Amino acid sequence: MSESVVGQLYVLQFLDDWVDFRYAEFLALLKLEGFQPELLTAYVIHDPNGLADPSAYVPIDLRNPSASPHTVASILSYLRHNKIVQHFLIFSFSDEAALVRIANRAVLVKNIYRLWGHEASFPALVDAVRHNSAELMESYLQPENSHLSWSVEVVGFGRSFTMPEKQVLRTHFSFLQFPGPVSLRSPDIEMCLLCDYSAGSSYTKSKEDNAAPSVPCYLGRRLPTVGMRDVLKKYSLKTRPYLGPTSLDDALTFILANMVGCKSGMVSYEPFVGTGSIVVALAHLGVFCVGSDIDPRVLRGEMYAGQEDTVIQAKKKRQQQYKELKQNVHALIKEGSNMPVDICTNFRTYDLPTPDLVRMDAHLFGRHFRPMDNFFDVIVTDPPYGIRAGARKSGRRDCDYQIPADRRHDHIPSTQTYPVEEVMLDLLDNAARSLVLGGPLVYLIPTTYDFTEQDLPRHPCLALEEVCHQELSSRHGRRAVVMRKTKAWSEENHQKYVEYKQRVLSGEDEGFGRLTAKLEAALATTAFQDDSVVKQFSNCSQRRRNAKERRMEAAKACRSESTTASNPSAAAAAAAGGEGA
Amino acid sequence: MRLVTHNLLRCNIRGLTEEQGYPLRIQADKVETIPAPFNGDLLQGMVRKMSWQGLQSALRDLGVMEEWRAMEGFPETPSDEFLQQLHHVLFEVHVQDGTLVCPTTGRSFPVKDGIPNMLLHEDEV
Repeated sequence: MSESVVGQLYVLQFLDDWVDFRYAEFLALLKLEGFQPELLTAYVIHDPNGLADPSAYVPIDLRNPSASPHTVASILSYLRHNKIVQHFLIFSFSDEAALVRIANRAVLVKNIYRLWGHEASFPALVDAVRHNSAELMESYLQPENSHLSWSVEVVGFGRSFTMPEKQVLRTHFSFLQFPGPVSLRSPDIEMCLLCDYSAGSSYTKSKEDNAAPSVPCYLGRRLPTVGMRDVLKKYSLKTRPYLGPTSLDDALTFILANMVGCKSGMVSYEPFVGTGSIVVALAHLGVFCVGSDIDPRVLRGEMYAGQEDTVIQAKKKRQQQYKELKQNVHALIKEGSNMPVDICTNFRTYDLPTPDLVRMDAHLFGRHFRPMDNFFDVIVTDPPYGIRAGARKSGRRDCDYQIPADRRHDHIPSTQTYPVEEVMLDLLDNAARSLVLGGPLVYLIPTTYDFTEQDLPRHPCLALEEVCHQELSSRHGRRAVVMRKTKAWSEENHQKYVEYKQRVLSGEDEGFGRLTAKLEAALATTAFQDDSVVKQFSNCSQRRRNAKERRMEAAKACRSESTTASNPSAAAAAAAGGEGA
Repeated sequence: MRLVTHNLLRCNIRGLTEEQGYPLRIQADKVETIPAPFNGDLLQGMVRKMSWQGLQSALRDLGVMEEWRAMEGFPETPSDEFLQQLHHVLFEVHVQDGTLVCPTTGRSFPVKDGIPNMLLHEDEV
């Protein structure tokens, strides 16, 4: 349904979470749908506290919408580079159906609205929309659309309005005379009035301001998207039958899958499949997965850290049903108690195709597979980094014996520690060998707060594309790293990789080779007192720390005063300082 | 283990060249057929990426698809019927229990509950 001659502009509202991932995910999904972010005109929104350069704001003229020098790619890269968090993005787009598809797949896109107006304050918005109202309303006033139900929702972003306040704001737009009935439940035309208080703390909360907000406001028609809420609820770890201590956050698995543009018909490989948490997201998107792991316990289900309650309740419920049907209770209870819970239970419960699993050693990847370049379309994995789960590889350093033939059939093979640097470098080489040309690899890696791209492992065939940061503690976080295979695997490239690996493992490398040492320092129990560890605190924890410091200093001053001679005024001042902290 | 994965696997004992140890012979004790939705893009990709030699060896060991014995390789332009049959043998046939045997060394790798155990003993690495 086109709003006739005014420009086709949309405002996108991001989810207020996983902030560093939102742009990467949206750009990847745009490219997946075949659009180039460098060619999509975008607008800097009116936000005096957000962007450093006020002249970057170009007033949006819906009648002449192409007058903006910025593109989606340039604005998002500016925001990323300057670490500016902005929840809204206005851009020009021609295919509404494609936008709905993108929004239904993106975890971090909350809503998309067809823009009817955006101004620096509410009164200005009312005037602007009134100015264009004839064109905006034209198609809705046609006889064939006169039955469509409608509603106008009022949302304060960073402020809550009472119902009477919302009604006052809504009334200003009563010149938009939709002919059809009002429906609040699921209207055909869902208009939304957004008042954006997120830009700064300089807006005072007052009744007068709520009646005519002096913040940037939008009016738009919400696209009928459902988002990923129901999908994430279905796959939530809280109700997953089989879990492990390192199962990846379900939202993050879908974000990673989106960042590399997974689609139905692709083949993927997971060298550290574990409990299969990433594979669940890929299988949902129609990707065929081959997964491998060296640890049989995790594949067979003996490492079970999940919902004891749900499994026991499910068993009890089944037993109850059988009793009620007066079946053969004993046989069926026995069947229930023998029910295995392993990695495939998840896929059966979710009605997804199971991945093919192989117990093998990722270190010997090249020996396990026939020579196959250009096989896998994508590799998404979370390697064991030794913080919560260590990695093992087969073999023994000092193996100078032969296993006797009659003992071989039930011999349990020894494994040895697999140093973290080797895990990551082998992963890059395996990816370089087996990915299709142009295929992506995405993995997670823990990092410290003084991270630079030099900290990442490198490979001659893989180019670094994207790095997104998730804070985990005051001393470390983790990053999702996207690399792309840009050069074909060859003996020459492999030789360069072997030399680089040699340098890292012998401690000569200054970049990736240092990362483990930095992490060990950051995660040591004494790291809180260690000043060489770069730390980052949230605003409220910083305030608490400052208050604690003031208290301790006041107490110290008080003690030092009392050891010499009692000085009443100093003691009083110290006590007052301590109470005021 | 589906035949698509068997098509990739090779014996990983130390000392073998890249051409040796492939394709692994299948001694199947339990084979299951589990239906899977057909995906045209995936199958077209498989035609380019699968090893015909490996597939033939697997089909011979399982005793299926006699009519493909005479074919030298994948057809240049596979018909829809061919793709459907390929979909069935690659993605719907599961070897749940059995053994994979290396054609060069005779080393056997057990398959249990659909998961082949390729892990070597420490003296073979």
